[in-house]
Amino acid sequence: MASGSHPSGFNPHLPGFRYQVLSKLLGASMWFFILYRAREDGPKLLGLRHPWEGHGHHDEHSEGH
Amino acid sequence: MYLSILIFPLLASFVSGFLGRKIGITGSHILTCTCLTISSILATIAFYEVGICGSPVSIYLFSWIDSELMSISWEFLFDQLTVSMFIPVLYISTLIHIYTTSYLSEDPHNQRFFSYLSLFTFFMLLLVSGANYFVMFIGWEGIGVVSYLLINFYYTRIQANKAAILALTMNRVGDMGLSIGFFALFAFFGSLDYSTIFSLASYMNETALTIISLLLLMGAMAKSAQIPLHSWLPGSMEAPTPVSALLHAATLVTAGLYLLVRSSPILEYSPTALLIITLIGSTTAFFAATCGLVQNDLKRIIAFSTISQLGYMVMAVGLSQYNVALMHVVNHAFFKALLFLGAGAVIHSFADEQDIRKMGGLIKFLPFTYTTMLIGSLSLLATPWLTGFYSKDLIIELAFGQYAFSGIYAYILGSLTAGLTAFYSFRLISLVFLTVPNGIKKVYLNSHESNMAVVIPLAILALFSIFF
Repeated sequence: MASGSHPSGFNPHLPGFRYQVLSKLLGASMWFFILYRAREDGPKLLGLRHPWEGHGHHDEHSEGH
Repeated sequence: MYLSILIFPLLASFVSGFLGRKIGITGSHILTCTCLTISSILATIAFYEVGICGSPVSIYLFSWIDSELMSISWEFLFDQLTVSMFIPVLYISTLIHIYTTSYLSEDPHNQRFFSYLSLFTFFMLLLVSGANYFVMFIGWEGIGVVSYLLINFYYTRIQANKAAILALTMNRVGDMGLSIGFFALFAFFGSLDYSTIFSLASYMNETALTIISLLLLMGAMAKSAQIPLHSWLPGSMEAPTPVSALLHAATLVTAGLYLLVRSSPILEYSPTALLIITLIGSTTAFFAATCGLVQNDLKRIIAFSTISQLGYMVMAVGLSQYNVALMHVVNHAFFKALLFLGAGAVIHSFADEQDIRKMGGLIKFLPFTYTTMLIGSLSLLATPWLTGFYSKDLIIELAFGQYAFSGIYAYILGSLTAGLTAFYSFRLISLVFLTVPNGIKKVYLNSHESNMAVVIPLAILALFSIFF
């Protein structure tokens, strides 16, 4: 994976493309899930809304619902 | 199908152990991993049938001891608790078998190791699927013996010898209390069958039930490393890392929790025993967290973290929240196994160095391992909406809602422990991955990520720590 030597003489094996992509995918999945759930359930966790008051970004329900 | 869930690991163990020279290392790998995978698939089907569709299964094989009043049979019960334990045990065992094919690839005793791992899995499955305390005890002793064999895997090391003997003898102390508990159960109930005992528990004298509960607690304290029978767990880090991940994070240490949850119909009629369980659990959680703050060995930090989380689970049992305790058992199994396997990957890539003060700066070299350990740590911290949050936070809330001294004591210690957990977890992440490099230059030059046999189990466990 080395693409030329560094003047200091320290040329480690850096991780390959697969590992970097996989690590970013995994980390992104985690943060996406946390932030998504934060949007859905955050107000309920912080006590700003009751759990029975419906989900975050929907409009008010119609009477017949 | 249900008995084959137990038979496949036993078969793999026997063939790998006795015919290891015939089938070779590769044959042992393929056989054990395949048998465990099949068992996992069958356990998933069993979980759907029993856990979700609600149809428990009871299998009577044959009578074993038939002596006047004592009648013990080989009988198995697959109810919701059993299949809930099957899932973490088998999934994690399968992933660890796959992980070990790479981790111990240079070890000449692979067949023996895989035989022990599969044998341990069999005994653990036997423990959770028994329909009476005697069959459970066979599994209980079996996992104790196999844990000795696994901790002492490097049997030429004196430290491994000492650690294995310490684990075995401390567990024997608990087994003594457990055995006397079984004597008491038989004396009062005339049987060791779960169905007989639990249906009669409500008619029994409270003092008798308290004594029985405390004796059963003694066994659980040793197996689940509660104070004062906890010191064998950090010592058992002498074992290879897959052993730490399987036994000392996910399965063996949860056997005590299983015993308490299974015995809940007895515990519920003894408020004294529940009080003592709550106090022991919360004290253990806090004490172990304070010990983890000052450790420098990577695996020992995670070991003390395990003791601390086991304290949370025992605390939940003491608060009569058995389902929450079981939920934390399952969640903890996944993220703690992830942390141990990640630690193994770090150790392997860093010339078997285990002191975190001699690491540092590994995020550039091990980005995938860093991500998985970060996920495991965040789940351990009960970061909102990861798996650990749902169980750990609920335990602390339930302690607050108890409105008794024991509940407030558990709440305060549980909250303090959560803070300490955050501290030592991020101390670990920081010193290993984020801070300036403190190790030898040559070690960094050779540091690299592990191959797919390590990456795939880490990825799967990470997903289970996020979404399970």
